[in-house]
Amino acid sequence: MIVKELERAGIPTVQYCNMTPVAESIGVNRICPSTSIKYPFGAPDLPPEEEKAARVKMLERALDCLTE
Amino acid sequence: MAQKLRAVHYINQFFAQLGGEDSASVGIQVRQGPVGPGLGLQKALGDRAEIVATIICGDNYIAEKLDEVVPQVLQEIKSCAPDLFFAGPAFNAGRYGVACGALCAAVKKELGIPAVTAMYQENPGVELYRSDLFILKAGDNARTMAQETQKMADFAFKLRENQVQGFPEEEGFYERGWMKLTRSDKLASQRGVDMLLAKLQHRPFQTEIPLPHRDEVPRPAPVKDLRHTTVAFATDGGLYPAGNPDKMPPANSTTFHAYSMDGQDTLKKEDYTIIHNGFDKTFLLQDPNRIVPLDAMRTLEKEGKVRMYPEFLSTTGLTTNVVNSQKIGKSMAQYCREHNIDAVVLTST
Repeated sequence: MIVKELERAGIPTVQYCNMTPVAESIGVNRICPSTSIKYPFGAPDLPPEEEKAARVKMLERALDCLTE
Repeated sequence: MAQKLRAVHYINQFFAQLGGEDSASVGIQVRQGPVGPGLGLQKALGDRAEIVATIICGDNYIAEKLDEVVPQVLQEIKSCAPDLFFAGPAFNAGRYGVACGALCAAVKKELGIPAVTAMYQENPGVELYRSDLFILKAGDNARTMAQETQKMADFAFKLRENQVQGFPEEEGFYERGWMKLTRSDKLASQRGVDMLLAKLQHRPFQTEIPLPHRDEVPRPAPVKDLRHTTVAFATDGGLYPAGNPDKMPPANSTTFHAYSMDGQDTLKKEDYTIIHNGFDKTFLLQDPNRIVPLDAMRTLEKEGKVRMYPEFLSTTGLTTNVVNSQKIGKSMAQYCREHNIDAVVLTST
């Protein structure tokens, strides 16, 4: 709902979330699936340095959605 | 004596009393007989049916991998050879409602038996599954559990005997988008004119074909070049400075706040907290970058790939109703315009 209002104002927005069907049912235009509800930009099974590298990749994916 | 029908009931980890968010990742468990609200459901079913098994699953476990887990639960349901299936009631619990809807849809399709669930009107499960199955209207919290389980029990038998005749308002389910033929004493032309006269004279009238409300928002133009775009982070996961200085609520928020990340290269766990009752906060409290990825963003900024707006916008999105969500969204949009924010990444938990 929040994303729809941002989009209505013409602001390109990507919703980075896990339950993508919910976002789709509301009609959000740009949805980027995350890997977890509890840690959207996280990978706690990895050691910290690797987790951060993974996070950079996740962020790049989310930012790329803005360009599409 | 007629054979008692066999029923299977699906509930989440909370109603199975396994715990709250800390147990939301618990896998599929099968127990004999009714559990938790199943006891009330069994009472409502009386002698008509017996709950032979209760299937329990953590809300995160099923919601994060719906396509994988639903077939697994379906296998367990099949092995109980049920005549009836019940899921929930889910009230306003979003992940639970989505799971109940998905399971009922799968049971209906694969087993062809009555599959009944109930949830509150704002549960995302309603919008996702109301065209696939009958979803009964329920309140927004477990205060009304006894009434909901009674309605579910009775409706299952109506479904089984093909006795669901009435309109949604009469039968107590959410509109399915169907058209139903009925007889009328008046010709359509008369009814049409009556409605038009009522409309012109500002008298109430009931449309015979409610048009679906489509709130289609055009897709904003894509960002052309991230290098020259100021991107702001927003979240509905309830990330706030330690101590929650703005006293944001753990659910049902009505506002958002903006917090500065100036001079920070990473979000330190001692500086932040999560105020949100809808998920297990452990992982985000250990490292808030897992919800607002400041450390990753700084890396991309240093590489010149993107510009970051120095504040993140935060609110708590648990059971926040439609009206308040729209209000928060509109005020965030206003804030973005006033602060020359070009694009937003909104992270939801």
